Amino acid sequence: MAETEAIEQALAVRDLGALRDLAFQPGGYGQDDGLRLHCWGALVGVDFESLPPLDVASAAETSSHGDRSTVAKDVNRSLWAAGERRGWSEKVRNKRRRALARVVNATFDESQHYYQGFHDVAAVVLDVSGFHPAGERRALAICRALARRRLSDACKKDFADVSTALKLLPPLIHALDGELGQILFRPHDPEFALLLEPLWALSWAVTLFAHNVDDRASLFVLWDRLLAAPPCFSLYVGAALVAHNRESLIATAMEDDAAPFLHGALSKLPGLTSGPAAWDAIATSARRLLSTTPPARAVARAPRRLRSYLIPVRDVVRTPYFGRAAPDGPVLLSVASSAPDAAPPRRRNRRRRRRDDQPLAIVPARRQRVVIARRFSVAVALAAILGGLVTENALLRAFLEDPTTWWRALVQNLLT
Amino acid sequence: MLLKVVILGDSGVGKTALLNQFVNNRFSTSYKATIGADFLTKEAFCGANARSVAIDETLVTLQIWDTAGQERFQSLGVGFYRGADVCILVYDITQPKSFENLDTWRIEFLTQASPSDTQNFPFVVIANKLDRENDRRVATQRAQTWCAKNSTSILPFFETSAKAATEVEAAFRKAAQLALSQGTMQADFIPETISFRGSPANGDSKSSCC
Repeated sequence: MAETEAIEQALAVRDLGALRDLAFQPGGYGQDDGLRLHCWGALVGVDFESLPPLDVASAAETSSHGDRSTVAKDVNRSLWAAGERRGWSEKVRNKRRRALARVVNATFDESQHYYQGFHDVAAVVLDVSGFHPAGERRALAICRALARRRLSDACKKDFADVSTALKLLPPLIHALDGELGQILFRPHDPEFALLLEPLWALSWAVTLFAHNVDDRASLFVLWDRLLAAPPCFSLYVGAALVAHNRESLIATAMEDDAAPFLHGALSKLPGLTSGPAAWDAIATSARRLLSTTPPARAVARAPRRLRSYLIPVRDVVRTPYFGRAAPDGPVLLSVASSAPDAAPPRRRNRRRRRRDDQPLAIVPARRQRVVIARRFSVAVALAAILGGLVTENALLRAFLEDPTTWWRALVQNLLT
Repeated sequence: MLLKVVILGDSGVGKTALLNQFVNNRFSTSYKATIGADFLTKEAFCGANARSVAIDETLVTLQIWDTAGQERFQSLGVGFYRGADVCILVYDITQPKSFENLDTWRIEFLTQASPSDTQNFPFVVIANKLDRENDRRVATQRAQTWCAKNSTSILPFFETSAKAATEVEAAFRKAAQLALSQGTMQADFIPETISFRGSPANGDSKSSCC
């Protein structure tokens, strides 16, 4: 109960920092759909109090997006799990589907493209907001916010940006579990190429796991955390989910012709992960990974064999100050909070974030300077010995006295 | 022996339902849109060689890739297309648009999979939803003409119902046979009959559909 009060308090004063932390409490925002919806609204930057009195049905009719027939097909084969859980008759389910179609159609316009999977997203939002006119209005506001920001990569004319963003998964999995990363990602094995186009995680990223997790209680709590975290967090959850299932994946990898089976096993992971405890552990692990290894660092520390594979991601995450003002890169790689009126990061994180915003190139350059300095000093020492300027003994003595500044002793020796 | 099968067609034509009927002998009304790509396998015995002597039973594993129908998913599918032995094109007899798009699907596949011999690459065409004969809007004749036009030899054509399990097995059997004959043409081994063994309950087929 104390948690509910804390959530209400955070909502009342719009303390997004506190609200974000509360999402990671066990049980997330609790079991009250009304409270959860307000939290989600606050996190995506929607104020229900100031919503325009919009008629969702007419907005759906007048919207000019070009994928209505696909929406109709997808909506007509949706809401199975929700209907079963809530005991809807076929008639009720069809009514709910019409509501879902209205919200989806009203979300998109000619600049935003519907993709298969967004109907799963809208179904989750409607499930929480309620299937009534006010609920549809609120669901539409949240869906529009999601389509314009967090899921905007997928709403572009193609999936190129989504495809780029998904490439972050192999280095993230490497960061969590190097052995598993070695087994799954083999750039030099054509058989395994299909795991490096992480299509197995596509629906995770573009539906925020709504397509995969039928257990709504787990899914709602997972959404609390996804919406409380930056857009890239769905990739972190994906990586943590994979690492969480390492044993079964390694067993699958031992089979003959393993790559396609691994694709199948990986894509099924969210559906097979059940229970709040498992998802709590995954979310905690993902959050820790995000704080220690943000995208730029994950790419910088990726194993050498993944270097060329990661070029498209590296080009995005190394852009200076990406996250605050990146104009073009995939939002899915962004570490910036998704709400437009987001509170500044708390002090504890500030130093770390600032460092991550720096261009990545600094790290290799610094390392390179050290390497060059070392090589140079060795070359000087060899030249000095060969030139008969110093004896090996003198050099050895200098080195033994102080291994880090032996070259200074050498220079002094030369000068005297 | 492993045969790689790719199944393509507009969204909602019944690709997932056909696969589920073939692999698991089941039809469910509660399908959902496929997002990305699903992967299923089924083991089968291929028997009888070109001289119709029933010897040399070969165990083949069909590795079947089910894909999303929306166009934007296609550019992501290169990894699945590559190395395919046969491609199954599906349309819905109640949706003329899905039939008209067969050309696009065929070209898209040939471009992305880039098989060594595009002229003779085996395709099988499936006209699904025969159980909705009353709503039919694509005549059989029209589809047969298309098949004849798009193939140097015969492009096998099946009218199926995933719901009623009509001709589903036959269509996939033909696809497997073509894939096998394609792969073993040089070895002069062209199977005529393929029998599928096992049922999912016995664990003979592995499925990874979600």
